[in-house]
Amino acid sequence: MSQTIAFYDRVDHALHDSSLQTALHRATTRFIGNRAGAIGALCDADRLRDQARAIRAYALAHLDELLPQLAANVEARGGHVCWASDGEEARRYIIELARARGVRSIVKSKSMASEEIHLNEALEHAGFEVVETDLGEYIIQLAGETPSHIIAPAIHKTREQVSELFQQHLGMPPTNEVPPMIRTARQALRQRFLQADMGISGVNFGVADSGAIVIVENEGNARLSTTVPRIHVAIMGIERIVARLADLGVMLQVLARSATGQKLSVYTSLISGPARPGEEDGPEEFHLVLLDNGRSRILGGQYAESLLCIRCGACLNACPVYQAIGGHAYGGVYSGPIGAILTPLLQPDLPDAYLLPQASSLCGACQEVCPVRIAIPDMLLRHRADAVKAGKANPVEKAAIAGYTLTMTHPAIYNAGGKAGRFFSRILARKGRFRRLPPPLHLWTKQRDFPALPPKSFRELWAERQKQRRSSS
Amino acid sequence: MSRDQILANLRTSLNANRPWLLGEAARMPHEPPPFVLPAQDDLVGQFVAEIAKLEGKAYRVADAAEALAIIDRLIEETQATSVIGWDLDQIGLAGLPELLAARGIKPAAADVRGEGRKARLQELEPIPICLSGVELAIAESGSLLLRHGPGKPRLASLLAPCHIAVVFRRQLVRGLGEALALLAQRYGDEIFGPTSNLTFITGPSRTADIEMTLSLGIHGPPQIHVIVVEE
Amino acid sequence: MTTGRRRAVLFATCIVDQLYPTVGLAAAELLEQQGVVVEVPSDLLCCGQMAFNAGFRDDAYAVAGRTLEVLRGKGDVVMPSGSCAAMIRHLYHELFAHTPFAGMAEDLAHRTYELSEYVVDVLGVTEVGACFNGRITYHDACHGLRFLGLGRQARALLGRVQGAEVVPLPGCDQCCGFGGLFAVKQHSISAAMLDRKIEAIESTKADLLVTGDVSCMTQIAGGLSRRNSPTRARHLAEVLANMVDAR
Ligand code: SF4
Repeated sequence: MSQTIAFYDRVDHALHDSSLQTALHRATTRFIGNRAGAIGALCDADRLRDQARAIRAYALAHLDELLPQLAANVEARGGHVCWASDGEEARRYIIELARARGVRSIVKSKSMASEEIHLNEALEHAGFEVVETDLGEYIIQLAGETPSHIIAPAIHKTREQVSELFQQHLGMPPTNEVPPMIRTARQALRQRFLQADMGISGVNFGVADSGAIVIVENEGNARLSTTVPRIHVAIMGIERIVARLADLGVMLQVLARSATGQKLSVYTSLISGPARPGEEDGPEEFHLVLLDNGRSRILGGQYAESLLCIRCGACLNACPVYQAIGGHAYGGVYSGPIGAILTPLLQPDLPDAYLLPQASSLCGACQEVCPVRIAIPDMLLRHRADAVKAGKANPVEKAAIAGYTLTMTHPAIYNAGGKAGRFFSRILARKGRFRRLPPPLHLWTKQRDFPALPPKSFRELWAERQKQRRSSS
Repeated sequence: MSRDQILANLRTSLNANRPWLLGEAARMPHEPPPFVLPAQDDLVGQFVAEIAKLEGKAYRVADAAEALAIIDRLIEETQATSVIGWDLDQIGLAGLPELLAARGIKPAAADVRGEGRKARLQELEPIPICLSGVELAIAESGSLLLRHGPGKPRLASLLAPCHIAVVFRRQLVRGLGEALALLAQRYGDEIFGPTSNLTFITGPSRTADIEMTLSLGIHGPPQIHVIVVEE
Repeated sequence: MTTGRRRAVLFATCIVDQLYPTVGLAAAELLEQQGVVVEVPSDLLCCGQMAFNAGFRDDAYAVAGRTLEVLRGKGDVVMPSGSCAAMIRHLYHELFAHTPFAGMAEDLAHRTYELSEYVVDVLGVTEVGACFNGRITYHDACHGLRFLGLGRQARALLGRVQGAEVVPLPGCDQCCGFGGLFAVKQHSISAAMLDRKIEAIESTKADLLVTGDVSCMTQIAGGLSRRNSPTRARHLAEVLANMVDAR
């Protein structure tokens, strides 16, 4: 399990994985370009994003009313609602339901919430056959891996690797062409859909006033999962709600554009309960699992803003750290900048979750692209402060900061320190630079030079200059 | 009970952060704009162009006869002997029942509910064409809005590799905001009365999950033919 | 102002003070040329960003609190560093929230400016009489760009530098990978980011890489120097004050 490997090892591994590097570069550049084009084409992108933020904030502010409203509307339409405090309750509900209905095979369309509660493992353990049907998810399921990107879970895989998996698991003849792989997957998965007893989906938005959930996708696997099997189970993080159907006129516009640069995703399904009498198709049963898993508490703290997130993935693509290391290195279910905020909150038992917020240069590219303008860097800083408060700072850093603080609050020490630094620099620097510094600064000079210190500080030069001026005037 | 526990937690949390959230919520009106791109003169032209960009096929035709000719050609090409379709009156294209009858095609009912669901699905699976109308269509994104219900099955835009959709000029709106407003105006609280499912379809099924290479038809129809009747 | 002349405190920041005194002198020169009376308080040291960014808020509080005291009642404060200016303008609010310093922090935030912003937006000047014969490319330092909305000002100023050919830097708004202690703690990621930046810079064949932040400059210059690149990294102020020697 990747979680037992330390964060730094995962990072190192990622940085040296050349096919991952190629894939990341290809995917993130494409996503960034597509998003920029789509957002740039809007009449008033800034306003639309402000509206999206306002709509999400309103929903969170009224979560205690909107959730019961959503649930009541779903039930009024003949659906069932499960309130799950944590992953355990959600898993138990779904497993018991599947058992009670004699379910054997289950198809799943992409759901980060189900990843969050490790639903697949639980279902398989309980004896059910579970197939991920989003192509990317299917590929990584065959490979026994986890998603590396919110909206493109298998971007770390090359076509050769995919081909091998399909040859091995699906009996595809050898090829490195994409179209035959697509055909193979379509055929294999189509039969899975037709034979499935239960479809499990995620939820992009719950719409309180209509009792509907919204699922956004490009492949059609979510439509099949929620139409073909006789039972549909949707899992929704409780924060992913909007108050009114009209709100979708804003949210869907920014979601598709931020995620993939599309004007709308290929399929946007609005689903309210099970099929009605008189309808020819659609599921007989609809179950909505409302998953809390820590969210109701996050809402009251200093990370509440992270609950505005609509999981578009734009911040991942824009993040230079994500671009360099990809999703797996983060070790949690959610990766990238928003993952660095959410993982320590949602998976606090991951031993190095507290390191994730450190893995940021705080450049702010995430906040710049976020459709709901989440102040991600501010929250990364809060996580760092929390880690220090919890005593997780490393001792060298602690000592360094203590020295820094002493220096920066005492001009005499500061000046003496500067003088000492310049003295050593005169002796040790070569040609105006350091090629190597002693630990811990050797980590700086591993990859880059450090400038030699100048003979005098700015303030010394300034004082001399002022003196000269006074005497000459 | 978990429900009460969750709601209690939410209330406690909101005691702390509700004022801030309400402040953020009040910064901007929530009403969606009717459309989000610069308006163009030719709505049909915009719609057709958008679908082409998505690698769908769109046809602008003057009347039902021209539309029928296209459908006829597609049946010919796919050698279809059956279609999964909406009730033909719900599509509303004059002459369509006669055309299908002349071709010897009986629309297959997508009646999969109840006993024998899986067997019925297997029977529908080989059918090469889906045939539907739309509730509305959105010009600036090239989207179709399908409001399902009796006589309007979901599988009729999903299962077969070729989806033919008939759109009338009067069904076309400019943007998503406009479409949602119209829906609310038409059906009020009963949008989800006769059906549990509304779907916006924007181009053929696609994926870029293998090396970001765009591929069509991974699950839904790889081909979508949208016929816009201007009469 | 009674004298009719503008006054401003030049807060040169600890890094400029210790590593890049010429940047401080250049900034002072630039302001004085425009008729600003420059003051450099001898006990003004650091904005506290390093501790704050590392999560040591008590330490940041001590350092920044002291800075608030030193700058109390001093009028406009100009900083040749977008990052440090952003610390004061954007982050002091959170650092001092619910403390006795809150009001002072708010007040300081309102009168703190980054250098290019002060020159262009406050003084209304873009022509400062600078010359440089050679090719220049500009890197947008992240904090200035995203938290202060900078970039336009520096480009306007560079556009008026006589003899300079200003060429765009591909990915000019991509982070160079500095990020304070990040550069050391996550050195391998930082280095990967730096590599991309250096490649982009080299593709421009510029003589000078100009930026408005000495921290990015240290990172980028360190990378250029390690690769023995012919491109030099300089602070905007040095170019504007004609303190970059031709080669
Ligand atoms: S934080 Fe913002 S940009 Fe990142 S996934 Fe969430 S909504 Fe998208």
